[in-house]
Order: sequence, then structure tokens, then C-alpha cells
Amino acid sequence: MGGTRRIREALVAYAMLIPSAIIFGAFFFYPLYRLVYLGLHQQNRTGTAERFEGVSQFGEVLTGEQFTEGLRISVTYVVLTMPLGLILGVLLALAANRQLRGIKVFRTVFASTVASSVAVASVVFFVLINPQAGYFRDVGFLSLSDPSSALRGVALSSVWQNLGLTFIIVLAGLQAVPDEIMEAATLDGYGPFRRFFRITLPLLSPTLMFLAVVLVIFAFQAFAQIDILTAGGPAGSTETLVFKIFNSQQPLSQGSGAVMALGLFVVTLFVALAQFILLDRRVHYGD
Amino acid sequence: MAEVVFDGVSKRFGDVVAVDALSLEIVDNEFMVLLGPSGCGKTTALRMVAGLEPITEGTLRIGDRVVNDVEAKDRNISMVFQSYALYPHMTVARNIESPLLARTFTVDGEDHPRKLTKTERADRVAGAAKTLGLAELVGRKPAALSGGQRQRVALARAIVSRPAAFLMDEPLSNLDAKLRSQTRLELVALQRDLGTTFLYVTHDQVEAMTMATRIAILDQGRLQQVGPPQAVYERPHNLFVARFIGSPPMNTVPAVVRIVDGEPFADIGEAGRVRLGAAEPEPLADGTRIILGVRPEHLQIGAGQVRATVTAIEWLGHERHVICDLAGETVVVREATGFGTAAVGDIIAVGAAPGDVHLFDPSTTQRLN
Repeated sequence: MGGTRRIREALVAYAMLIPSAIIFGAFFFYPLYRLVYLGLHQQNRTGTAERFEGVSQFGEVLTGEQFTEGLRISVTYVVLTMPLGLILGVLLALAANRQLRGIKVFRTVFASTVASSVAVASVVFFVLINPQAGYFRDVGFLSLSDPSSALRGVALSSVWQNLGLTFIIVLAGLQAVPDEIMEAATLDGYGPFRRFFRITLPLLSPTLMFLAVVLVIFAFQAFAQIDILTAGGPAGSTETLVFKIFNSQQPLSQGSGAVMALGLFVVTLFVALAQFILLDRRVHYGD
Repeated sequence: MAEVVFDGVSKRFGDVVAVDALSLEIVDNEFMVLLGPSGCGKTTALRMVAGLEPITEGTLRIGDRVVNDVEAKDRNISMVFQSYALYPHMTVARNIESPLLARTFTVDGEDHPRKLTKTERADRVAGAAKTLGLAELVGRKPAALSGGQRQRVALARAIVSRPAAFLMDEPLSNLDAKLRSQTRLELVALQRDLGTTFLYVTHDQVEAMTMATRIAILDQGRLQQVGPPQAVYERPHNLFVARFIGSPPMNTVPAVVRIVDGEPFADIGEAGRVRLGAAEPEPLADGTRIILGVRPEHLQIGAGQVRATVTAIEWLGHERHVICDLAGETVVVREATGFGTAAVGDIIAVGAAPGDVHLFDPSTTQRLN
């Protein structure tokens, strides 16, 4: 009968869903539930007892100086890394998107930061801009010892770190633009700049939108480079939201840490959604 | 509005010779088709005219101007690409307008070229869209168009700048068979209406035969023959052209010349022999090795003394192809009317009028009569 067969098929389907359900449950849904739970409670000093605080704790934390300052620094970090990373990636990809002898060497070099871990990248930049021993310790613009410039130094290391990925994806996007379209534009009398802004850029827009979203999320989630280069200093000037959340591990601050983590989650979600909706109207997917 | 002249034009990519000393004059207002198999150099030749490919050697003229070093945009030509190369992010109207934006034009009654005004551009776009029947579609993006409509947009974009010559690179190859035959007629009409030089690249001999004023046949970068379709079909200059033009292709069979009682015959071994007409410019000597060529429609069953064995029969409705083995060569006889009774396995006699027999030199492949 059809009925029993349908039930059997449904059972098989659920069985196949179990592995991913376990993974999602263990690493996404349970932590999310714990965050909400922790956010509604206040632990005692040793973490042995907790008191229900309710939604009021959310209001306090999200309007508190910890969260707003962390968010301000995180947003600044996004502004410092995403546009610059995107522009540099596009420029490198444009430079490498030619038929030249030995161009593959350059492509490999440009893409190589993908293969280096955050730790390695950070150590490289530590050697470059360390306030005491770095090669560029005198470049005040990037100085890690000055609260007004430290975030720029960290941001630069992030830009460099993500450049390989941006480069590879933009290059792939450029190579997907048909040669005949560029030739048609040449015959239409478009010079290199017109070709780039009127043809290449619009055709590249889905790629750039994807990268913009990814780079914003990367920037919001950046942690290791900050920990290695400045450990949040000097004077808390590089304490992004993630860094503050990481530092909220003592039982006393766990509640507010959980609220901040949920706040960051919502902010990231909102930014990604907003970018998709806003950019979607101006993005051309061709056929 | 302009002639296009290749004078000893060559193109080499490293060691590969794509176009070899091509000399070809495309006269004003001509529909010239460059025809050849893939890799014969026809597209490279076209791209050199467009200015998309630098010329290695020789000179290229458009009108009275040598354009070897003239930029593509300043050559006053338009090109329709095989893929149409429409800008996917622009509407049909913006696509058609595109060639008018960056270039300068000499407007009728004025002396100096200048950029067109917005109104002038809009007028021209509307005119081009109307000519190609696109008036209803100007607001759409290419993704919302059918293949045939996209092709029309590409044509409209080509005519909007009123160029001295049109270049077309296999513009029909992405259309289905029905649309293709319809568009062939429209292209011929368009060329007549515009009164402009067309340079059209294709590997499809039907397109070449039906549209061309003259056909230039290329093989391995070399020009094989130029002439009106009928002349190329009736008097191919060499074996390549003989076998390339015509469907089914010309039958070719090796033979030896025998002079019997002062009359030349072609001896095809045990299959028999064929009487030949006069050869030009030199008469044929006894014992000369030749290749005989006869078009399938010129072979007649039951006339002549050459024996062949029927191996297959293809019936196409309006005609019948009798495929035979003739001294080891496959030979096709085309019966257009009054289908005979030949059946598979029959041994038949085939022959052709001496005037319908083409003779070629097996070593040079050149025509002998």
C-alpha cells in the first residue's frame, strides 16, 4: 500500500537527516540555546549558583558602554578592512587577468595569503609593525602602541590576510566575463576606464557583493589577529565586540557576554541581509 | 560605402601561420563571404579587419585608408559576434546605443565629426530598432529575449553607427535551422537596403552560396578561390574547393589518361573508362595521372561504360542518393527526378557528359581543364 511505503520513505529520509541534525544541534542550536539561557541569568562569583535576571539584562547590556564601545570598534574595523580589501583584490585581479608570460607566478604569489593561517599572518605583521622591533615601527599611521592608530595596524594585517581569497574570487569573476563582450566594447570605442566601469564592474557585481558580505562577516568575527598583535590594547582601543565577548568568561560576566554574543549575531545577520537586499537591486546576474 | 582590401596580409601566432599572404579585394557594397573549415584563418582575417588582431605582415585598407595601425574604434566598422556579445546588464535600447556613446560621427551637412546629442542618439536607436523589428523590446534585458531576438539586437547595434563595412563572425550558428534560413533572407535584404559592404565569415556553405555576392574560400590560411557562388561551384580551381563546395560533395576518382585514336580517355582500371573533353591550357598526354571529379547530379546511371556496385541507397523525399563502389572509391549518384530501379548489390553503368567532368592534377591538386 502507498501509505506504508510513504511512511517507510519518510523514515529513511529522517534517518539520513540525523547526522547533520546532530552536528547542527551540537554546534549551533544547543550553543544558541545556552546563550539565550545564560543571557537570562546572572552567575555568582564561582559559577556555582545562578539567579534569573530576565530580559532586563538584555536591555542593560545592549545599551551599556561595553557593548556599544565594542560595536563601535567592530564597525570601525569593518570600515577599515572591507572596502580596502575589496579594492586591492580587484586591482590585483585586474593586474593578473592578462595573457603574459609568467603571469601564473604572479597569480600564485597574489593568492598565497590564502595558504597562511591567521597566526602566521599576524606574526608577519608583528615583525613588520611591532612598536619596539618592527621594520616599520616609525610609521605612526600604523603604530600599534598608539590608541588612535592601533586598529589600523591590525586592520592592515587583516586586509593582507584576506587579500588572497578576494584576489582568487575576483579573478575567477573576471575570467567569467566573455572575451567577445570586451571586444564588442572595444569596437564601440570604450577606453580601458569606460570598459571597466560600464562593463566589467557591472558584470562583476554578483562576485563583489558576495565578497563584501563575506569580508564584513570576517571583520566582525576577527579575533586571532587582535589577540596576537595587540591583545585588545593599547587602552582597549582594539577591543572589538568579539574580543570583549571572549573576555567575558568569568562566571560573573558570563551573562553579559552571552547577551553581547547574541547582539553580535543579530547585528551580523542584519548587515548580511541588508547588503543582500540593498545590493540585489543594483546587481546584474546576466542570464 | 567602402572597399576592404587585403594586400599580402599575413598573421602568425608564434610558429603558426593563421593567415598566409592573403590578397583579396572586397569591393564597395559587396556581400563577401569568407568560407572554410574551422582553423582555416577566416575568423583571424575578419578580426584583423576589425582591429582586434594586429597584422603581422602586409597592408589592409578600408576605403582609401591603410588601417594597419588604426585603432578598432576609428575604423568605422561594426561587427556582429558569434555569441552576439550583448551587454547582459543593459536594456536592448542601451545595447543598441552603445556604439554611439564614445565615438564621434560626422553628421550629414556638417564638416567635422562630433559626439552625437542625446536626441540624435535616441533617433538612431529607434530607427535601428524599427529596422530590425525590435521596437517592442527596447526596454528588455538580453536575458529576457529569444536567440533570434538577441541576434537582431546584435544586428541593430551594428547598423546604428552606419559603418563603412559590416563584419560578421558566424552570426547564424546559434540559431535553429528554421530561423537560420529565414534570417539568411533577411540579411540579404538588409545588405541591399543599407548598401554597405558586408564581410561575412562562415563554415556553412549553404550560407555562403545563398547570401554571397562572391565567396572567398580559405584553407590552412591560404586563399583557394574567389568568385560568385555559381562560378565557384561550376569551376572549382582545385581539389579542395571541389570537395568543399557541394553537398553531397563532388565525387573524385584517380585515373590515367589514355589517348585512343586521337581522343583522350580517362582509364579507371577495371571499372572502365570515361571520354574526356579538351584540357586547358595544355592538352593531356598519354599516361598522365589525373583525378576525375564529377558532381553527384551529373552522374547518370545506365549511360557510359564505367561499372560500379551499389552499396547503399539514401532516399530523401525530393531526391535519391545511390551510393556505389567504383574501383574502390565511394561515389554518389544523385537522382533528382524519375528514380531508377538500382538496388543495393546491383552492378550499374555510370557516366557523365564530358563537359561535366572536372580534371585535377593529383600532385598540385590544381584544375587541368
